[in-house]
Amino acid sequence: MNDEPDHNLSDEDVSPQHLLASAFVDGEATEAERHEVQSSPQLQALVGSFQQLKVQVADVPLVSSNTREVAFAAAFAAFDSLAEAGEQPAATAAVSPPAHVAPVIELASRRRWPGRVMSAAAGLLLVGVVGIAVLNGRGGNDSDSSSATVAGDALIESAPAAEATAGADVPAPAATVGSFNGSAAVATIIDTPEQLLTLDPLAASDLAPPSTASPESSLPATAETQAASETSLPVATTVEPTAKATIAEFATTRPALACMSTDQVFLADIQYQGIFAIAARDTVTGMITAIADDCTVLASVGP
Amino acid sequence: MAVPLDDRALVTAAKGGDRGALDQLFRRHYDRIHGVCRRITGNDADAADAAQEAMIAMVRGLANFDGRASFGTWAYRIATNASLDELRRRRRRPLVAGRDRDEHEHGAGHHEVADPNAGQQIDQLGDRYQLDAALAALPDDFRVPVVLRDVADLDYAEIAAVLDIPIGTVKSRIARGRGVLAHTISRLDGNHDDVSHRPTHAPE
Repeated sequence: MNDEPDHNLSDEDVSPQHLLASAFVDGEATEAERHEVQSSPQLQALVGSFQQLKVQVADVPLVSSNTREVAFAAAFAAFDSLAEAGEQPAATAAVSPPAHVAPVIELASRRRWPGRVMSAAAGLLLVGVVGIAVLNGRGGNDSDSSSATVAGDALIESAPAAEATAGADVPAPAATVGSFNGSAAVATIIDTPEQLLTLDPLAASDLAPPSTASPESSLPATAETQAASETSLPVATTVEPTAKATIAEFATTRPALACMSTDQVFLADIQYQGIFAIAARDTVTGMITAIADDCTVLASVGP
Repeated sequence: MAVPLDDRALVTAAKGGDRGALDQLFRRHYDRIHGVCRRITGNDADAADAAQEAMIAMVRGLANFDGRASFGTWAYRIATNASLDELRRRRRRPLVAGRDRDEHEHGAGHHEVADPNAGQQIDQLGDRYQLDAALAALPDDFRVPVVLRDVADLDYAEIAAVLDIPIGTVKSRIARGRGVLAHTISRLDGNHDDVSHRPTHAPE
Protein backbone atom coordinates (compact mmCIF):
# COMPACT_ATOMS: atom_id res chain seq x y z
CA MET A 1 0.00 0.00 0.00
CA ASN A 2 2.97 2.26 0.53
CA ASP A 3 5.95 2.74 -1.74
CA GLU A 4 8.19 3.75 1.12
CA PRO A 5 10.33 1.30 3.09
CA ASP A 6 7.91 -0.81 5.04
CA HIS A 7 10.07 -2.56 7.64
CA ASN A 8 8.36 -5.78 6.52
CA LEU A 9 5.53 -5.08 8.90
CA SER A 10 2.73 -7.50 9.45
CA ASP A 11 -0.13 -7.76 11.89
CA GLU A 12 1.38 -10.82 13.52
CA ASP A 13 4.90 -9.79 14.47
CA VAL A 14 4.04 -7.24 17.13
CA SER A 15 5.74 -7.80 20.44
CA PRO A 16 3.62 -8.35 23.57
CA GLN A 17 5.50 -5.50 25.27
CA HIS A 18 4.52 -3.07 22.52
CA LEU A 19 0.92 -4.26 22.68
CA LEU A 20 0.80 -3.75 26.43
CA ALA A 21 2.49 -0.36 26.42
CA SER A 22 0.42 0.91 23.51
CA ALA A 23 -2.88 -0.20 25.04
CA PHE A 24 -1.80 1.37 28.34
CA VAL A 25 -1.06 4.70 26.66
CA ASP A 26 -4.46 4.64 24.96
CA GLY A 27 -6.33 3.75 28.14
CA GLU A 28 -7.43 0.49 26.57
CA ALA A 29 -5.51 -1.85 28.88
CA THR A 30 -7.28 -4.14 31.32
CA GLU A 31 -6.74 -3.90 35.06
CA ALA A 32 -4.32 -6.83 34.97
CA GLU A 33 -2.40 -5.28 32.07
CA ARG A 34 -2.15 -1.96 33.87
CA HIS A 35 -0.78 -3.70 36.93
CA GLU A 36 1.76 -5.53 34.78
CA VAL A 37 2.94 -2.28 33.21
CA GLN A 38 3.22 -0.52 36.54
CA SER A 39 5.34 -3.28 37.98
CA SER A 40 7.86 -3.37 35.13
CA PRO A 41 10.47 -0.62 34.70
CA GLN A 42 11.12 -1.77 31.16
CA LEU A 43 7.46 -1.48 30.23
CA GLN A 44 7.24 1.90 31.94
CA ALA A 45 10.14 3.14 29.83
CA LEU A 46 8.34 1.93 26.74
CA VAL A 47 5.14 3.63 27.86
CA GLY A 48 7.08 6.87 28.32
CA SER A 49 8.46 6.56 24.80
CA PHE A 50 5.01 5.91 23.33
CA GLN A 51 3.42 8.73 25.31
CA GLN A 52 5.99 11.16 23.99
CA LEU A 53 5.32 9.90 20.49
CA LYS A 54 1.57 10.24 20.95
CA VAL A 55 1.97 13.89 21.94
CA GLN A 56 4.18 14.53 18.92
CA VAL A 57 1.74 12.92 16.48
CA ALA A 58 -1.20 14.80 17.97
CA ASP A 59 0.68 18.10 17.74
CA VAL A 60 -0.35 18.86 14.17
CA PRO A 61 0.82 22.16 12.68
CA LEU A 62 -2.02 24.68 12.78
CA VAL A 63 -3.90 25.14 9.58
CA SER A 64 -4.11 28.68 8.26
CA SER A 65 -7.47 30.39 8.32
CA ASN A 66 -7.12 30.99 4.59
CA THR A 67 -6.79 27.28 3.90
CA ARG A 68 -9.80 26.60 6.10
CA GLU A 69 -11.97 29.23 4.44
CA VAL A 70 -11.01 28.08 0.95
CA ALA A 71 -12.10 24.56 1.88
CA PHE A 72 -15.37 25.86 3.30
CA ALA A 73 -16.00 27.93 0.19
CA ALA A 74 -15.47 24.91 -2.04
CA ALA A 75 -17.76 22.80 0.12
CA PHE A 76 -20.49 25.43 0.13
CA ALA A 77 -20.19 25.82 -3.61
CA ALA A 78 -20.95 22.11 -3.85
CA PHE A 79 -23.78 22.56 -1.36
CA ASP A 80 -25.29 25.40 -3.39
CA SER A 81 -24.89 23.47 -6.60
CA LEU A 82 -26.80 20.55 -5.10
CA ALA A 83 -29.47 22.88 -3.77
CA GLU A 84 -29.92 24.46 -7.18
CA ALA A 85 -30.23 21.08 -8.80
CA GLY A 86 -32.80 20.08 -6.19
CA GLU A 87 -34.98 23.10 -6.97
CA GLN A 88 -35.58 21.94 -10.52
CA PRO A 89 -38.74 19.88 -10.99
CA ALA A 90 -37.40 16.37 -11.25
CA ALA A 91 -39.79 15.19 -13.96
CA THR A 92 -39.00 18.17 -16.15
CA ALA A 93 -35.31 17.67 -15.69
CA ALA A 94 -35.60 14.03 -16.56
CA VAL A 95 -37.71 14.54 -19.67
CA SER A 96 -36.47 17.74 -21.21
CA PRO A 97 -33.06 18.81 -20.02
CA PRO A 98 -31.68 22.12 -21.18
CA ALA A 99 -29.75 21.76 -24.39
CA HIS A 100 -26.57 23.23 -22.98
CA VAL A 101 -26.24 21.02 -19.93
CA ALA A 102 -26.65 17.33 -19.26
CA PRO A 103 -29.59 16.48 -17.02
CA VAL A 104 -28.99 16.03 -13.30
CA ILE A 105 -31.80 13.66 -12.49
CA GLU A 106 -32.98 13.20 -8.97
CA LEU A 107 -32.41 9.68 -7.80
CA ALA A 108 -35.92 9.43 -6.35
CA SER A 109 -37.57 10.35 -9.61
CA ARG A 110 -35.37 7.95 -11.50
CA ARG A 111 -36.67 5.17 -9.30
CA ARG A 112 -40.36 5.70 -10.10
CA TRP A 113 -42.43 3.85 -12.68
CA PRO A 114 -39.90 3.76 -15.50
CA GLY A 115 -37.63 1.89 -13.15
CA ARG A 116 -40.27 -0.74 -12.52
CA VAL A 117 -40.98 -1.26 -16.19
CA MET A 118 -37.28 -1.43 -16.87
CA SER A 119 -36.88 -3.83 -13.95
CA ALA A 120 -39.33 -6.23 -15.54
CA ALA A 121 -37.54 -5.97 -18.88
CA ALA A 122 -34.19 -6.35 -17.18
CA GLY A 123 -35.45 -9.37 -15.31
CA LEU A 124 -36.33 -11.09 -18.56
CA LEU A 125 -33.01 -10.09 -20.02
CA LEU A 126 -31.25 -11.35 -16.92
CA VAL A 127 -32.72 -14.82 -17.28
CA GLY A 128 -31.53 -14.96 -20.87
CA VAL A 129 -28.10 -13.52 -20.26
CA VAL A 130 -27.40 -15.61 -17.18
CA GLY A 131 -28.65 -18.70 -18.94
CA ILE A 132 -26.39 -18.13 -21.92
CA ALA A 133 -23.46 -17.23 -19.69
CA VAL A 134 -23.95 -20.36 -17.58
CA LEU A 135 -24.34 -22.62 -20.59
CA ASN A 136 -21.31 -21.14 -22.31
CA GLY A 137 -19.30 -20.98 -19.10
CA ARG A 138 -19.68 -24.70 -18.40
CA GLY A 139 -17.49 -25.46 -21.37
CA GLY A 140 -14.58 -23.39 -20.11
CA ASN A 141 -12.33 -23.49 -17.07
CA ASP A 142 -14.77 -21.98 -14.61
CA SER A 143 -15.84 -25.25 -13.15
CA ASP A 144 -15.81 -23.99 -9.58
CA SER A 145 -18.39 -21.26 -9.58
CA SER A 146 -18.44 -20.94 -5.78
CA SER A 147 -15.19 -19.03 -5.70
CA ALA A 148 -15.60 -15.29 -5.48
CA THR A 149 -12.59 -14.84 -7.72
CA VAL A 150 -14.01 -17.13 -10.32
CA ALA A 151 -17.32 -15.35 -10.03
CA GLY A 152 -15.51 -12.11 -10.61
CA ASP A 153 -13.81 -13.56 -13.66
CA ALA A 154 -17.11 -14.81 -14.96
CA LEU A 155 -18.56 -11.41 -14.42
CA ILE A 156 -15.92 -9.77 -16.51
CA GLU A 157 -15.75 -12.47 -19.11
CA SER A 158 -19.48 -12.50 -19.57
CA ALA A 159 -19.64 -8.80 -20.30
CA PRO A 160 -18.69 -8.90 -23.96
CA ALA A 161 -20.95 -11.90 -24.50
CA ALA A 162 -23.80 -10.12 -22.86
CA GLU A 163 -23.17 -7.10 -25.00
CA ALA A 164 -23.25 -9.22 -28.08
CA THR A 165 -26.43 -10.90 -26.95
CA ALA A 166 -28.23 -7.82 -25.88
CA GLY A 167 -26.82 -5.41 -28.37
CA ALA A 168 -28.99 -6.47 -31.26
CA ASP A 169 -32.36 -5.93 -29.64
CA VAL A 170 -31.86 -3.37 -26.96
CA PRO A 171 -31.45 0.30 -27.78
CA ALA A 172 -28.02 1.59 -27.02
CA PRO A 173 -27.56 4.20 -24.29
CA ALA A 174 -26.92 7.80 -25.23
CA ALA A 175 -23.24 7.12 -25.60
CA THR A 176 -21.73 3.74 -26.33
CA VAL A 177 -20.04 2.02 -23.45
CA GLY A 178 -16.99 -0.05 -24.18
CA SER A 179 -16.12 -3.33 -22.58
CA PHE A 180 -14.10 -3.30 -19.40
CA ASN A 181 -10.86 -4.41 -20.95
CA GLY A 182 -11.65 -3.30 -24.41
CA SER A 183 -10.27 -0.56 -26.53
CA ALA A 184 -10.63 2.99 -25.34
CA ALA A 185 -11.94 3.75 -28.78
CA VAL A 186 -15.34 2.44 -27.67
CA ALA A 187 -15.41 4.41 -24.43
CA THR A 188 -18.45 6.44 -23.48
CA ILE A 189 -18.15 10.01 -24.60
CA ILE A 190 -18.65 12.30 -21.62
CA ASP A 191 -18.33 16.05 -21.86
CA THR A 192 -19.82 17.36 -18.61
CA PRO A 193 -19.77 16.24 -14.97
CA GLU A 194 -23.53 15.84 -15.07
CA GLN A 195 -23.26 13.29 -17.86
CA LEU A 196 -21.28 11.11 -15.47
CA LEU A 197 -24.50 10.60 -13.56
CA THR A 198 -25.93 8.70 -16.49
CA LEU A 199 -23.46 5.99 -15.51
CA ASP A 200 -24.86 5.84 -11.97
CA PRO A 201 -24.94 2.17 -10.97
CA LEU A 202 -27.87 2.73 -8.62
CA ALA A 203 -30.05 3.02 -11.66
CA ALA A 204 -28.66 -0.27 -12.89
CA SER A 205 -29.36 -1.95 -9.56
CA ASP A 206 -32.95 -0.82 -9.89
CA LEU A 207 -33.11 -2.55 -13.22
CA ALA A 208 -32.26 -5.89 -11.72
CA PRO A 209 -33.68 -6.47 -8.26
CA PRO A 210 -32.14 -9.46 -6.49
CA SER A 211 -35.53 -11.19 -6.43
CA THR A 212 -35.27 -11.79 -10.16
CA ALA A 213 -32.11 -13.79 -9.77
CA SER A 214 -32.11 -17.48 -10.45
CA PRO A 215 -31.03 -19.43 -7.35
CA GLU A 216 -29.02 -21.74 -9.57
CA SER A 217 -27.11 -18.89 -11.09
CA SER A 218 -23.35 -19.19 -10.91
CA LEU A 219 -23.05 -15.45 -10.60
CA PRO A 220 -23.19 -13.71 -7.21
CA ALA A 221 -25.78 -11.04 -6.46
CA THR A 222 -23.51 -8.30 -7.69
CA ALA A 223 -23.01 -10.13 -10.92
CA GLU A 224 -26.73 -10.68 -11.29
CA THR A 225 -27.27 -6.99 -10.99
CA GLN A 226 -24.54 -6.50 -13.48
CA ALA A 227 -25.75 -9.05 -15.96
CA ALA A 228 -29.15 -7.44 -16.11
CA SER A 229 -27.72 -4.10 -16.97
CA GLU A 230 -25.16 -5.10 -19.51
CA THR A 231 -26.56 -2.79 -22.11
CA SER A 232 -25.61 0.26 -20.14
CA LEU A 233 -23.07 -0.92 -17.60
CA PRO A 234 -20.90 -3.77 -18.80
CA VAL A 235 -18.78 -3.99 -15.69
CA ALA A 236 -19.42 -4.73 -12.02
CA THR A 237 -20.88 -1.85 -10.10
CA THR A 238 -20.47 -3.32 -6.64
CA VAL A 239 -17.51 -5.61 -7.05
CA GLU A 240 -16.16 -6.79 -3.72
CA PRO A 241 -12.44 -6.89 -2.84
CA THR A 242 -11.77 -10.32 -4.32
CA ALA A 243 -13.29 -9.35 -7.60
CA LYS A 244 -11.44 -6.06 -7.36
CA ALA A 245 -8.21 -8.04 -7.37
CA THR A 246 -9.32 -9.57 -10.63
CA ILE A 247 -10.15 -6.16 -11.96
CA ALA A 248 -6.70 -4.99 -10.94
CA GLU A 249 -5.26 -7.38 -13.48
CA PHE A 250 -6.65 -5.11 -16.14
CA ALA A 251 -4.85 -2.11 -14.76
CA THR A 252 -2.20 -2.51 -17.39
CA THR A 253 -4.71 -1.75 -20.09
CA ARG A 254 -6.49 0.94 -18.11
CA PRO A 255 -3.95 2.46 -15.66
CA ALA A 256 -6.59 4.68 -14.07
CA LEU A 257 -7.99 1.60 -12.35
CA ALA A 258 -5.02 1.68 -10.03
CA CYS A 259 -6.03 5.17 -8.99
CA MET A 260 -9.36 4.11 -7.53
CA SER A 261 -9.73 4.30 -3.77
CA THR A 262 -10.85 1.30 -1.77
CA ASP A 263 -14.36 2.72 -1.63
CA GLN A 264 -14.63 3.24 -5.35
CA VAL A 265 -16.04 0.79 -7.86
CA PHE A 266 -15.45 0.86 -11.57
CA LEU A 267 -18.34 1.94 -13.78
CA ALA A 268 -17.14 2.35 -17.32
CA ASP A 269 -14.43 3.31 -19.71
CA ILE A 270 -15.06 6.85 -20.78
CA GLN A 271 -13.56 9.60 -22.82
CA TYR A 272 -13.96 12.74 -20.75
CA GLN A 273 -13.66 15.88 -22.85
CA GLY A 274 -11.40 13.94 -25.18
CA ILE A 275 -9.25 12.35 -22.45
CA PHE A 276 -9.34 8.60 -21.99
CA ALA A 277 -10.45 7.86 -18.45
CA ILE A 278 -12.61 5.69 -16.28
CA ALA A 279 -15.75 6.51 -14.37
CA ALA A 280 -15.83 5.27 -10.78
CA ARG A 281 -18.46 5.50 -8.08
CA ASP A 282 -17.67 6.06 -4.39
CA THR A 283 -19.79 3.60 -2.44
CA VAL A 284 -19.66 5.81 0.66
CA THR A 285 -20.51 9.18 -0.80
CA GLY A 286 -22.18 8.14 -4.03
CA MET A 287 -19.95 10.50 -5.99
CA ILE A 288 -19.14 9.61 -9.57
CA THR A 289 -15.61 10.52 -10.59
CA ALA A 290 -13.85 10.63 -13.93
CA ILE A 291 -10.23 9.54 -13.41
CA ALA A 292 -7.59 9.86 -16.09
CA ASP A 293 -4.80 7.34 -16.54
CA ASP A 294 -2.38 9.60 -14.70
CA CYS A 295 -4.78 9.65 -11.73
CA THR A 296 -5.94 13.16 -12.42
CA VAL A 297 -9.52 13.63 -11.28
CA LEU A 298 -11.12 15.19 -14.33
CA ALA A 299 -14.54 15.68 -12.76
CA SER A 300 -16.63 14.64 -9.79
CA VAL A 301 -20.35 14.80 -9.38
CA GLY A 302 -22.72 13.61 -6.70
CA PRO A 303 -26.17 12.14 -7.05
CA MET B 1 -27.97 31.75 25.91
CA ALA B 2 -28.40 29.40 22.99
CA VAL B 3 -27.38 25.81 23.64
CA PRO B 4 -25.09 24.49 20.89
CA LEU B 5 -26.76 21.81 18.83
CA ASP B 6 -25.20 18.38 18.79
CA ASP B 7 -23.87 16.86 15.58
CA ARG B 8 -26.98 14.78 14.97
CA ALA B 9 -29.24 17.83 15.08
CA LEU B 10 -26.88 19.78 12.86
CA VAL B 11 -26.74 16.94 10.34
CA THR B 12 -30.53 16.80 10.22
CA ALA B 13 -30.74 20.54 9.71
CA ALA B 14 -28.02 20.50 7.06
CA LYS B 15 -29.81 17.72 5.21
CA GLY B 16 -32.82 20.00 5.16
CA GLY B 17 -30.78 22.69 3.44
CA ASP B 18 -29.69 24.67 6.50
CA ARG B 19 -26.43 26.25 5.42
CA GLY B 20 -25.71 27.57 8.90
CA ALA B 21 -25.94 24.10 10.37
CA LEU B 22 -23.48 22.80 7.82
CA ASP B 23 -21.17 25.69 8.59
CA GLN B 24 -21.27 24.83 12.30
CA LEU B 25 -20.56 21.18 11.59
CA PHE B 26 -17.59 22.04 9.41
CA ARG B 27 -16.14 24.55 11.85
CA ARG B 28 -16.50 22.04 14.66
CA HIS B 29 -14.67 19.27 12.83
CA TYR B 30 -12.42 20.88 10.22
CA ASP B 31 -9.25 21.25 12.25
CA ARG B 32 -9.18 17.62 13.25
CA ILE B 33 -10.10 16.51 9.77
CA HIS B 34 -7.24 18.56 8.43
CA GLY B 35 -5.00 17.14 11.14
CA VAL B 36 -5.82 13.61 10.06
CA CYS B 37 -5.12 14.55 6.45
CA ARG B 38 -1.88 16.28 7.44
CA ARG B 39 -0.53 13.28 9.31
CA ILE B 40 -1.56 10.79 6.64
CA THR B 41 -0.31 12.75 3.64
CA GLY B 42 2.76 14.14 5.38
CA ASN B 43 2.74 17.66 4.01
CA ASP B 44 0.65 20.80 4.19
CA ALA B 45 -0.23 21.15 0.50
CA ASP B 46 -1.56 17.62 0.09
CA ALA B 47 -3.34 17.87 3.43
CA ALA B 48 -5.15 21.03 2.33
CA ASP B 49 -6.20 19.35 -0.92
CA ALA B 50 -7.33 16.19 0.82
CA ALA B 51 -9.24 18.07 3.51
CA GLN B 52 -11.00 20.15 0.87
CA GLU B 53 -11.89 17.06 -1.14
CA ALA B 54 -13.19 15.49 2.05
CA MET B 55 -15.43 18.49 2.81
CA ILE B 56 -16.88 18.41 -0.70
CA ALA B 57 -17.40 14.67 -0.46
CA MET B 58 -19.20 15.17 2.84
CA VAL B 59 -21.55 17.71 1.31
CA ARG B 60 -22.33 15.39 -1.55
CA GLY B 61 -22.65 12.35 0.66
CA LEU B 62 -24.64 13.96 3.44
CA ALA B 63 -27.93 12.76 2.01
CA ASN B 64 -26.67 9.19 2.23
CA PHE B 65 -25.37 9.55 5.79
CA ASP B 66 -27.79 7.47 7.84
CA GLY B 67 -26.54 8.42 11.29
CA ARG B 68 -25.72 4.89 12.39
CA ALA B 69 -22.16 6.01 13.05
CA SER B 70 -21.35 9.37 14.55
CA PHE B 71 -20.78 12.25 12.16
CA GLY B 72 -17.16 12.39 13.31
CA THR B 73 -16.52 8.74 12.56
CA TRP B 74 -18.11 9.14 9.14
CA ALA B 75 -16.16 12.32 8.48
CA TYR B 76 -12.84 10.75 9.47
CA ARG B 77 -13.49 7.83 7.18
CA ILE B 78 -14.03 10.20 4.28
CA ALA B 79 -10.97 12.23 5.28
CA THR B 80 -8.86 9.07 5.49
CA ASN B 81 -9.95 7.96 2.04
CA ALA B 82 -9.37 11.44 0.61
CA SER B 83 -5.87 11.44 2.08
CA LEU B 84 -5.03 8.00 0.74
CA ASP B 85 -6.36 9.05 -2.66
CA GLU B 86 -4.15 12.13 -2.52
CA LEU B 87 -1.15 9.98 -1.63
CA ARG B 88 -1.95 7.62 -4.48
CA ARG B 89 -2.06 10.52 -6.91
CA ARG B 90 1.17 11.92 -5.54
CA ARG B 91 2.96 8.62 -5.93
CA ARG B 92 1.95 8.50 -9.55
CA ARG B 93 3.14 12.03 -10.22
CA PRO B 94 6.72 12.38 -11.38
CA LEU B 95 8.87 13.91 -8.65
CA VAL B 96 10.16 17.34 -9.49
CA ALA B 97 13.03 18.66 -7.46
CA GLY B 98 11.44 20.34 -4.53
CA ARG B 99 10.47 20.58 -0.97
CA ASP B 100 8.91 17.17 -0.47
CA ARG B 101 11.86 15.32 -1.89
CA ASP B 102 14.31 17.26 0.21
CA GLU B 103 12.28 16.72 3.32
CA HIS B 104 12.02 13.01 2.87
CA GLU B 105 15.52 12.34 1.67
CA HIS B 106 17.54 14.66 3.80
CA GLY B 107 15.42 15.43 6.85
CA ALA B 108 15.85 18.60 8.85
CA GLY B 109 19.57 18.92 8.37
CA HIS B 110 19.22 19.86 4.75
CA HIS B 111 17.24 23.05 5.38
CA GLU B 112 18.93 26.36 5.39
CA VAL B 113 19.13 28.18 8.68
CA ALA B 114 18.05 31.78 8.35
CA ASP B 115 18.42 32.83 11.95
CA PRO B 116 21.32 31.35 13.90
CA ASN B 117 19.73 32.43 17.19
CA ALA B 118 16.55 30.53 16.63
CA GLY B 119 17.93 27.34 18.12
CA GLN B 120 14.77 26.24 19.83
CA GLN B 121 12.68 26.77 16.74
CA ILE B 122 15.16 24.81 14.69
CA ASP B 123 14.99 21.95 17.16
CA GLN B 124 11.21 21.95 16.94
CA LEU B 125 11.38 22.09 13.17
CA GLY B 126 13.84 19.22 13.22
CA ASP B 127 11.52 17.18 15.42
CA ARG B 128 8.66 17.90 13.06
CA TYR B 129 10.60 16.80 10.01
CA GLN B 130 11.78 13.68 11.79
CA LEU B 131 8.24 12.79 12.70
CA ASP B 132 7.04 13.46 9.15
CA ALA B 133 9.85 11.30 7.78
CA ALA B 134 9.14 8.51 10.24
CA LEU B 135 5.41 8.60 9.51
CA ALA B 136 6.07 8.64 5.77
CA ALA B 137 8.21 5.52 6.10
CA LEU B 138 5.40 3.70 7.88
CA PRO B 139 3.03 1.73 5.62
CA ASP B 140 -0.47 3.19 5.33
CA ASP B 141 -2.02 0.21 7.10
CA PHE B 142 -0.06 1.08 10.23
CA ARG B 143 0.11 4.86 9.93
CA VAL B 144 -3.62 5.43 9.54
CA PRO B 145 -4.71 3.71 12.79
CA VAL B 146 -2.05 5.60 14.74
CA VAL B 147 -3.23 8.89 13.25
CA LEU B 148 -6.89 8.15 13.90
CA ARG B 149 -6.05 7.33 17.51
CA ASP B 150 -3.69 10.20 18.28
CA VAL B 151 -5.08 13.00 16.11
CA ALA B 152 -8.77 12.18 15.79
CA ASP B 153 -8.88 10.71 19.31
CA LEU B 154 -11.01 7.78 18.19
CA ASP B 155 -11.08 4.71 20.40
CA TYR B 156 -10.15 1.29 19.06
CA ALA B 157 -13.76 0.34 18.32
CA GLU B 158 -14.35 3.53 16.33
CA ILE B 159 -11.13 3.05 14.39
CA ALA B 160 -12.18 -0.51 13.63
CA ALA B 161 -15.47 0.84 12.27
CA VAL B 162 -13.76 3.52 10.18
CA LEU B 163 -11.25 1.11 8.66
CA ASP B 164 -13.55 -1.90 8.61
CA ILE B 165 -11.04 -4.14 10.35
CA PRO B 166 -11.26 -6.09 13.64
CA ILE B 167 -10.49 -4.31 16.92
CA GLY B 168 -7.63 -6.72 17.59
CA THR B 169 -6.03 -5.72 14.31
CA VAL B 170 -6.40 -2.05 15.23
CA LYS B 171 -4.69 -2.70 18.55
CA SER B 172 -1.79 -4.60 17.02
CA ARG B 173 -1.30 -2.16 14.15
CA ILE B 174 -1.17 0.81 16.49
CA ALA B 175 1.30 -0.96 18.76
CA ARG B 176 3.45 -2.10 15.85
CA GLY B 177 3.25 1.30 14.20
CA ARG B 178 4.31 3.08 17.36
CA GLY B 179 7.18 0.69 17.88
CA VAL B 180 8.53 1.35 14.40
CA LEU B 181 7.91 5.10 14.66
CA ALA B 182 9.77 5.35 17.95
CA HIS B 183 12.64 3.31 16.56
CA THR B 184 12.84 5.34 13.35
CA ILE B 185 12.84 8.65 15.20
CA SER B 186 15.45 7.38 17.59
CA ARG B 187 17.61 6.28 14.65
CA LEU B 188 17.22 9.70 13.01
CA ASP B 189 18.30 11.20 16.33
CA GLY B 190 21.40 9.04 16.29
CA ASN B 191 20.31 7.13 19.39
CA HIS B 192 20.75 3.45 18.70
CA ASP B 193 19.74 2.29 22.15
CA ASP B 194 16.09 3.26 22.21
CA VAL B 195 13.76 1.35 24.48
CA SER B 196 11.15 0.92 21.79
CA HIS B 197 13.22 -1.57 19.84
CA ARG B 198 14.15 -4.01 22.56
CA PRO B 199 12.94 -6.62 22.68
CA THR B 200 10.75 -7.03 19.63
CA HIS B 201 9.51 -10.43 20.65
CA ALA B 202 8.67 -11.96 24.00
CA PRO B 203 11.08 -14.62 25.26
CA GLU B 204 9.70 -18.08 24.69
